[in-house]
Amino acid sequence: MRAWHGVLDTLVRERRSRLVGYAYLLAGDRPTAEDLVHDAIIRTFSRARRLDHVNEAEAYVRRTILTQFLNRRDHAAMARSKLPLLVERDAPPADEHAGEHDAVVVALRRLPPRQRACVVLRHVEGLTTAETADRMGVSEGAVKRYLHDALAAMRETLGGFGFGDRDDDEDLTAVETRRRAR
Amino acid sequence: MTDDLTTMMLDSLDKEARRFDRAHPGSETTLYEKAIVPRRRIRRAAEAGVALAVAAAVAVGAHALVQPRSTVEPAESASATAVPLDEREWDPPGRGLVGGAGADLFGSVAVTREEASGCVALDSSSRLDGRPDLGGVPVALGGVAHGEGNVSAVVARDFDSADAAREYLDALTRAASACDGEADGEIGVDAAEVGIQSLAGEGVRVLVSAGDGFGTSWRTWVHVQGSEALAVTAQPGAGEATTADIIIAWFTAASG
Repeated sequence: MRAWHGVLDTLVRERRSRLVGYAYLLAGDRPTAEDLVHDAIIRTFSRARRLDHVNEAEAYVRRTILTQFLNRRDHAAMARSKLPLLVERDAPPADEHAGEHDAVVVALRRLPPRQRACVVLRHVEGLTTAETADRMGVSEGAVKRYLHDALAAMRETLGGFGFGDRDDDEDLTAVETRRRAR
Repeated sequence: MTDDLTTMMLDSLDKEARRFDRAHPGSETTLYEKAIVPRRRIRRAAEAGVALAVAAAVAVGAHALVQPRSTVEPAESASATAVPLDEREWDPPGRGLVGGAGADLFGSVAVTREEASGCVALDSSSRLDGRPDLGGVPVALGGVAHGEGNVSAVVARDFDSADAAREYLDALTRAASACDGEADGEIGVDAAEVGIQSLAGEGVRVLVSAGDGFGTSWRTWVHVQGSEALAVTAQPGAGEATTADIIIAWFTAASG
């Protein structure tokens, strides 16, 4: 057995569920999240020449999930194309509405994709502004603007869930300072 | 706020991960392997330079209906215009010609040369590269961009005669059949004689399916009109009617 088989097995058994959770925050619904993960795993292991460690593979898959999420235009069409994988499962189909009790998911879903991606990269992956910009292929200024707008919208949506009125995010402060200077 | 937000998001991620684990208790690694193994084989062989980029195009549009080859009347030689193939002014459909289009862009199903020489022959035949005894040389016209990121490779060749061009189609069909036999079920190769209702000439389309369970396939359509041939290789997902549009655009320009 080649190394990638073992890495794939470990990834699927130990990391896939959290990857689905990660994709769920981005996509906002379960079928799309699961589809993003399936597709990203296949793409990653189909393309990579060497994958010797599961951490490396997971990082590739996460990047691919993000790229696919930002690039996708027709989630339904892609889901249909993956039917052979989906129909072989024993589990019942995912309920795309079952996560709506999570207020934060509802708030994320209301954001445009790039804003959503910025929030997830900063607050789940813990990337810096520069790293987020690099990952998304946009400028740092764009990331700050996306975050500013996203957090403002989420603060409004999640106001009743313990979010304070004051925003101490350094990126948000920077954007607001720049706007006042105009 | 940001700490609160991070906590809430990580909590949602954890809950979704646990839900997914409960819904998928068994190992599904095998399902992924079934999809990944053929794709890795394709990529490795493509990188090794023995890619088999093949196919056909089932272009059935409102103005392009596929007919049995024998029902289409032969046309006058397109090369009668005497304009070099790479200098012809034509108006490709979609977003037009793009530079630097290589075979790797168009998807490839690959087998090693030792395993399937017929498939290697089919690979070159789909690019009009082969049978030098029939005259002419393949001229790569570039890629035609269309749809959402799809690029179809277009190659033209002016054979010595209309008979030579038709002989080439026969050779292409034989190569497809040979490849299908050698592939031993790992890929599917299907060739059919086709024509376009609104365009004189005849053609052969070859469809190569990856057998990855996703219905992934690469397609080439070679159409000949007189002594001239045009091959359009489409990557998976490319619109079928677009292939016919490309062929029609080329030969329409040829006829002035």
